[in-house]
Amino acid sequence: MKGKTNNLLPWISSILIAIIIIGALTLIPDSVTHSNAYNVLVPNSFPSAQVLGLSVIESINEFSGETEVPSYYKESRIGIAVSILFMFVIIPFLFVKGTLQSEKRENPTALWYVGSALLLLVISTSIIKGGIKMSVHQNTRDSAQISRTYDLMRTELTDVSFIVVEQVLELNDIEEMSKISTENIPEVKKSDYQYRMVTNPQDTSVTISISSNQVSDFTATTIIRPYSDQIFKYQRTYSK
Amino acid sequence: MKDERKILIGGIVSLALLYLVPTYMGYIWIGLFSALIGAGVYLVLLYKMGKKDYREASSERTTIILFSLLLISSVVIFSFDYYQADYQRDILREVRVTIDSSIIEAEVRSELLEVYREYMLANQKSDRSVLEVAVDFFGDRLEDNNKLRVKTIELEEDLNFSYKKDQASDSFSIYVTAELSKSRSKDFKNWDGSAGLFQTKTTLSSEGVSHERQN
Repeated sequence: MKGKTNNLLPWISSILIAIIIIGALTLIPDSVTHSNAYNVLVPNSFPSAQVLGLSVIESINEFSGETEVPSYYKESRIGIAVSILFMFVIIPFLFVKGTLQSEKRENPTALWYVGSALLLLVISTSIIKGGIKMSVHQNTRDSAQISRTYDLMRTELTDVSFIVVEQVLELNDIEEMSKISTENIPEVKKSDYQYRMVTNPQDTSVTISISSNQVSDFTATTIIRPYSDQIFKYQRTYSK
Repeated sequence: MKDERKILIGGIVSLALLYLVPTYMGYIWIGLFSALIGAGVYLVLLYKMGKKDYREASSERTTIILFSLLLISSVVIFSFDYYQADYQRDILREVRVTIDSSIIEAEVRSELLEVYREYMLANQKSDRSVLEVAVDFFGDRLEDNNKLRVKTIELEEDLNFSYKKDQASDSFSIYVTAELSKSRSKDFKNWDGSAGLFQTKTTLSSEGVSHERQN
């Protein structure tokens, strides 16, 4: 029992050192952590997150048509290289070297404490941050899916609204407006969403609403006035 | 001692090269994964070096466990981040296409609908072709090189508007290519000579206005 406790003690100390390092890193002011020198010289246990950051910037540049490569791009690449070298080469080396030294001296050396604490730090932050990232990503996916449904509904409603305008324009007598129905429109027949249409021959307007069971809090509506300057008026309603 | 130094320096040089060479060629993810493979090889060599001199079996076990955890967690996280980068790029492209699509509908399809309204009203009195009404409606916004000037001139920074008159079918089409929207097929040849970009075709005929996404 005593032997087991003695074996565990150095590891407990390593965990404490790792916690102290994390604590110390959180105390560094934002002005320093956001500086280029910090990003280049201080290794990150998440080099793939740094690469992800650069990829996102590239995607945003593509989105906005920006062609100029930001100046920090080069520095970040060096920073990522430093992180990789620390994470996979230097820290494991310190651990093995420290273990060999400790065995010779029959007591954990400072090198072993540094190597094991940093190795535990890298592994544990990877696992913890990875878990958090996966859960956040799932939430992002869910909200992206909801936005996608909103967009699809809006696009489909726009399509149907254009068709209805044409149908109104093709009428010989405006009184026949009441005969116009969404049920005769192919886009509505094959739709996954529910439509509601109200015609008003008095002011030559048509109101079409679209809703869905997938996003029960959202309704989109177009008010169509085929003979006015502004043919369409689009409204969105989010209910709680 | 000599072996240790060789392994350490060899690890630093090879991993730096494996990462930096593809990165400076523009393939940062390939660089990252190459470095990860290199790291796997390096950790095996480092473990073997330690194993040779370890006196206790527990040191060997601990090294295997920690190195395995380091590699496995890195493979999982790196792959997940790569997937996330891909996902975010697709989402941004999708958003861009949605924005461009909405702008095109509001600018082009709506205007052609107004032309259709004029055509329907004009034909209550006289017999005019779709093309005649369209040409009158757009006037000098129809340029000789088939370029269409749109009402909201700022849109021409990111979108190319072209028109085509078809006498035979009495129809008038507007093609819009979105310069910043990479779309479904990379090989699609756009109207303006580019490739793989989002493009719509909106056609006005005596039957009404049809609108289709071509890529």
